Amino acid sequence: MTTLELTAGAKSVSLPGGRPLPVLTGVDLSVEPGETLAIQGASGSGKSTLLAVLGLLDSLTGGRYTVGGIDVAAISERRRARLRSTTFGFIYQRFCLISHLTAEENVEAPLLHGGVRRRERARRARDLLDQVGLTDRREHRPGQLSGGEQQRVAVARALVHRPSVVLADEPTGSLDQDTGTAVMRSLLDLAADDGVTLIVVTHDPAVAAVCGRVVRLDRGAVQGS
Amino acid sequence: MKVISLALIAWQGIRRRPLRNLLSALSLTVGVLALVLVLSGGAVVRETIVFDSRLQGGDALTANLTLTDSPQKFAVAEYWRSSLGRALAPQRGIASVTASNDGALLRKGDETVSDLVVVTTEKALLEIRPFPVLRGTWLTDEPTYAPTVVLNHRADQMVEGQTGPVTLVAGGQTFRTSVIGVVYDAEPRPVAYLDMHADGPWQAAIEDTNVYSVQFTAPAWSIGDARSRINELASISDRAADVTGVERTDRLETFDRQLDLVNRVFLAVAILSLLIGALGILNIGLSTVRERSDELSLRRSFGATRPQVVVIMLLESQFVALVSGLAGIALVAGGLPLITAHFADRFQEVSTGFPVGGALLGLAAGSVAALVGSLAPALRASRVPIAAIMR
Repeated sequence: MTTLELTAGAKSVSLPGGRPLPVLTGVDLSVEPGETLAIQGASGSGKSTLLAVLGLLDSLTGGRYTVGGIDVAAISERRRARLRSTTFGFIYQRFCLISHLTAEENVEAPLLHGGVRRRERARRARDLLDQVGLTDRREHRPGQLSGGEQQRVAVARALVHRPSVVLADEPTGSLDQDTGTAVMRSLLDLAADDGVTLIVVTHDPAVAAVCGRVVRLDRGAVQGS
Repeated sequence: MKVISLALIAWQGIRRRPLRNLLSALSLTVGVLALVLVLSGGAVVRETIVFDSRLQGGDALTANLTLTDSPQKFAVAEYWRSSLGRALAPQRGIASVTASNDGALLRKGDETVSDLVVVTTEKALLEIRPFPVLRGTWLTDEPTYAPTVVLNHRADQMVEGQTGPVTLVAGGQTFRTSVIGVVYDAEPRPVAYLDMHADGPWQAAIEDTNVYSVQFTAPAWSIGDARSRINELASISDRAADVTGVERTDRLETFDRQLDLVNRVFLAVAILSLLIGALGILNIGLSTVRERSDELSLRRSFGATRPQVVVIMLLESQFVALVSGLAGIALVAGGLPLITAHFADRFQEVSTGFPVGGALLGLAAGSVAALVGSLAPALRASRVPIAAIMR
């Protein structure tokens, strides 16, 4: 199990002309294994950037971040990529399924990158598609699935390689209330089954309410939890 | 990540836009096809031209020493054959007397072969111009009472299917003759070869109208060497008046130059086609990187490193190149027999085996073209920010 420790995390981006724009300013955050955490805040408060930093999709410009005790700034890109692929699963607001692959192939994708054998890939992908209720949609492409179904495929994909942390960016943001609730329920159940840490960026108070802890961001800084 | 996984991911990428990839493959196929055709078809054409050229003019150096027409022309020809034969012995050259007589006729059954060339020659001519013997035998240098002839393929085709006695009209006289063989000599006109040493009573009548020459091969000489040596021999034996000229008959070098030029032109077309194919891949590659930025970021989030993204993109283009190469080779494999049949004579044994070397080179050229075309898109793809997917 993996503990995430962000200390005085800062991130700024360069605007045209070279002027820096601070996105995260001195964020301290510790997430324990198995915890469910919601990150809330207004648009532009740095929620998604924080999630990207936590998932090693982006790097800090200041501060320190450790994943399971490993300082991610001190390791090579290759090792960081390995850490990302083995530790984290991602769910995006726009689903981000690969349009030319079937649902099953989309779920298999992280395993293919991990070098898992074909039979094992298929077995795990089918198990998860069964668990999210898409047994009969395995061969369908994203364009043939509804928004809720696509997000359930994304949930299966986020969990298929058995990560210790799942990072979800507005997972219900593109879904109606009922579908969003159903997707969130599947995600929480599956995460709880495997003791996975779940960090969710959300505007939805109902989603935040089902998480164990809520962190609020304002202009790149943690305002309370 | 294992190579097989990278290859599978690349294959998935190919499936994304099958038609677009097919069109890329088509443009590359044209290049591969042109290249393999130049390499294999060119070899068939060259083999054919070399084959015909050897039959018509011999190997380098082969030349014709034409002699003055005189009452002793046979004896003069014999003298020069023997004299040149001795001079050529150290380089294993051969000399053979040849006399030709245009405007003869050959009749068999209802068919008359007009405009027949009668070539009176020796058995040794076959060593200078290696005619394939299609039927029967070549000249034997043995005495015969009636003239016996060897027809070339053209004359044989003209009397094909006819039965009955064969008559030869030459030197104003008609002779009953028999055909002892048929050869392929690559000549477009009908030719009858007669044995100079047959010693029959018919011979004088035919030979009287002939112009004599001595054809010889001299592998170690240039045409200049041959002329100097013949002048020397004529001067020593006081026979300068016998010689009217020494002309080169082998034409391989000329054909080689022409073929080389044609091959260069085809090669330039092939390279141009490959370049167009590479530009097509570059164009499609650059435009798809933007379309695929989500997918590329997603793959990075699954653990792919930047170099692995480059490899995936390059492998995609290599799949296109492989398909193009195989299609090009398949087209050549199907078309080569047609080219062979069109260019090669039916009397020639042209190597019709599959051009493995050309095929491998075609595959390699397609692969390099695809690599060149996909390198810039691959590098651009590797620079797609991984966090772009969050936006």
